[in-house]
Amino acid sequence: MSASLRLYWLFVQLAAIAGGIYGGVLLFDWATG
Amino acid sequence: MRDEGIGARRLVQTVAVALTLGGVACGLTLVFLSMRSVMNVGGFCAEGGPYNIRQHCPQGVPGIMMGGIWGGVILALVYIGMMIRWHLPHFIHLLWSALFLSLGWNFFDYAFNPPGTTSGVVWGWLVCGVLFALMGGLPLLVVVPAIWREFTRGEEQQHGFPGGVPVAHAKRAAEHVGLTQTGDRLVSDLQKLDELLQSGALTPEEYAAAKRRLLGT
Repeated sequence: MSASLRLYWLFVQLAAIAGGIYGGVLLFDWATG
Repeated sequence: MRDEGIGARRLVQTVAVALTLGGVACGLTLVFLSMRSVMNVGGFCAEGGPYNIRQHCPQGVPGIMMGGIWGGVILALVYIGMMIRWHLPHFIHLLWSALFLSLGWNFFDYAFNPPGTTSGVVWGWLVCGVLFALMGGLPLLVVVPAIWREFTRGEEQQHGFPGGVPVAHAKRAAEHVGLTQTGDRLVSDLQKLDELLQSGALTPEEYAAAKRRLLGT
């Protein structure tokens, strides 16, 4: 696997984590609000 | 045609990885925030059942906590399975530490800043915080270097059959027969072949046949 492909997967997963955390906060506020 | 196949497969993998890992992060966030809500009302609560409930849970928290736990566990298992199957660089090793360190943070925070009229340090929560910090922090000594390798390793260090084997094999073969230009070309061709296998464009059988042709064996 090339370095650029590894970097691609790193960014995909970091973005997924950030999006998941943001979505979790929104979902929590919606469910408990 | 092959490029289209690789592109479509990469898209499917990207969406699947983003959804599962994002779901795990979402579930962990829900558990983290739900735990803080429960600690805000004293650290325990209950709902349902034929009992006289002393402390009801905050609105929506029981459902969101159960959803966060089970959703997170199921999506984590799917994520782990996919990343191992596809031989992609991953954060699997970090999941355990993320769970215990995030919840351990809550114990520390509320041990030193207890809710309501409680003052001073809540030693029960502090002990839990220390235990969680140890359970989540100690593995990081191994996990951080592992993740670093996961995203930076060289071709020769890749795991899983047959990724990583061809380059080292080709280098040895080139050295053995004293080739330079031809050896470099061989290494390059085998690297491309390896990427096609890992992307799913080639089946293991097609890969093995192509590799035999390249090596002339």
